[in-house]
Amino acid sequence: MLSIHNLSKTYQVNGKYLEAVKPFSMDIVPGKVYCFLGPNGAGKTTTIKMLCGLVSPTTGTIAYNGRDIIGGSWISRPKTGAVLEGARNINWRLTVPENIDYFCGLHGLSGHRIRAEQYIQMLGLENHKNTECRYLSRGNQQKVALACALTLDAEVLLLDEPTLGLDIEIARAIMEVINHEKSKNRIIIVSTHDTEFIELAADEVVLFKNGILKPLGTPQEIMAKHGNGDNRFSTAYLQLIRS
Amino acid sequence: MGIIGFQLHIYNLSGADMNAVISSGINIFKAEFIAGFILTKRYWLNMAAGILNMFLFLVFIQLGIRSFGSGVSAEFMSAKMEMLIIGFFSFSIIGVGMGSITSRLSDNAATGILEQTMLSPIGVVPVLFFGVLTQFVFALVLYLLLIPLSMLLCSHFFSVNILHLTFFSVMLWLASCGIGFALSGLTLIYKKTQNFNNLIQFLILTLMVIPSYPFNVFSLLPVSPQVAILNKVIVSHQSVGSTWIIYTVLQSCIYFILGCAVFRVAEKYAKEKGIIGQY
Repeated sequence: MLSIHNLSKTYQVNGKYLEAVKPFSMDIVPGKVYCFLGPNGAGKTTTIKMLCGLVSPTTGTIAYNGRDIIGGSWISRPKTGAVLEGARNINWRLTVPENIDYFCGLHGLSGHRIRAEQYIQMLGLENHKNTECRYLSRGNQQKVALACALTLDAEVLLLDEPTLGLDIEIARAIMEVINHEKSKNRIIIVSTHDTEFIELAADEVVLFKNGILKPLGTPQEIMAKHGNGDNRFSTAYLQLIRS
Repeated sequence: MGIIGFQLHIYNLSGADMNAVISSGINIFKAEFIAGFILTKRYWLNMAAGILNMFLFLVFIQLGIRSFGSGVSAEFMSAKMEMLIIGFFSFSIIGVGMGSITSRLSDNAATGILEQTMLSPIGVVPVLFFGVLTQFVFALVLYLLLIPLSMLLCSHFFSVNILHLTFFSVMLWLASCGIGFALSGLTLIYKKTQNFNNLIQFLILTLMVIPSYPFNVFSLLPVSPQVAILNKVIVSHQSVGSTWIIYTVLQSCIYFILGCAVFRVAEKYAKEKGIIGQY
């Protein structure tokens, strides 16, 4: 379990303090997909980056199964796979398997070939295996990034807008793979604006608004409570952010 | 004092944890080596041009000295030629240590994988270090082949103790890596530092020619004593005492650790500011 306690981030910009994420606490259990939802600039990416150690929190602690992962040694950190916002995830000059080998190596792993092959097939990348990633479409590059993160066999999987700008077919393929990963008892956190993704894949929705986090429950609970009879998640979401 | 902290963590680890550290290190080195090899093969034209460039430089140093030094004694000319070749070699090794770390960091940022490399559980310092180590091994092997080849072409020979050359090159490279890590720390914070790094090259050239042997205040500077010893042992064929060798090893290690510590401080600052990936 990932236990977040009193976590916050304040940036100093031009002498002024900007509270990007206000202090929050929550427990994240494995085997569920947690979706971070909210308007742009609400603090979703900052939180994802704090969880993967790329941004230091101003206050608070993050513990994995009771072990502090901010102040502790690297041995105490869970194996973390992340697909970060944008295209900043793969080496464009390497092919799909070369990228997987490279990033698994950087995480100190070997003997991952069978797993890599499975994810290449699951994500429909087998026809692009020998292509340098710079020649792949945006959607396929995103799939490669996901394949790299999944092959790490990570205990914590952090995905920042994994379906952003992708066509529905690729977005669905990515969603199916993430759903499949639930059974592997991983901690899965996805930051997204994709309401269809949330409707079909989320187990827990956490709303970000002006740096404040609010766990809201399952998409079905949210639709029942805020949907005004409309069975689309987007309606309930609009209602929530306007309130 | 991040790297020191990292080492202290290692000392507190159990046997199994220690094995995990070692196997992770080996796997990172393997990953960097294989990726480097693939990219070298894939961009062979660039590599071939680089090797040719290096070779022609070595050849023209020798031909140039020969044509300009027609009035001087053969012994004097030979000594100058050897000094220039070793000088060029030293400058290249410093470049591999110092320049490659900063260029790797900027390159990783430009190709978009800096944040991913930072997710490596043992941190970005070993990743950068192993990446540059592969470049150093490659450069050293290349020089050990190209120097004799260029001498063969120019019919000029001088004896080099390969073991001594390798040992002092490693020390020179280690000290240069320290400067490289410190500069990379600045790159992490200030992003565009290419012009600043170009300025540092002049500082390096100054450090290379400062008389730091026998021991004086300049011997405390990075790179300087290592270059002086290389000249002493390889060019002048003189021996240096074991105290000097121990001093060079210690000095190289200290600058390396200091550079890593500066980098870790910069990394911590960049993480606090949230500016790791903002290129």
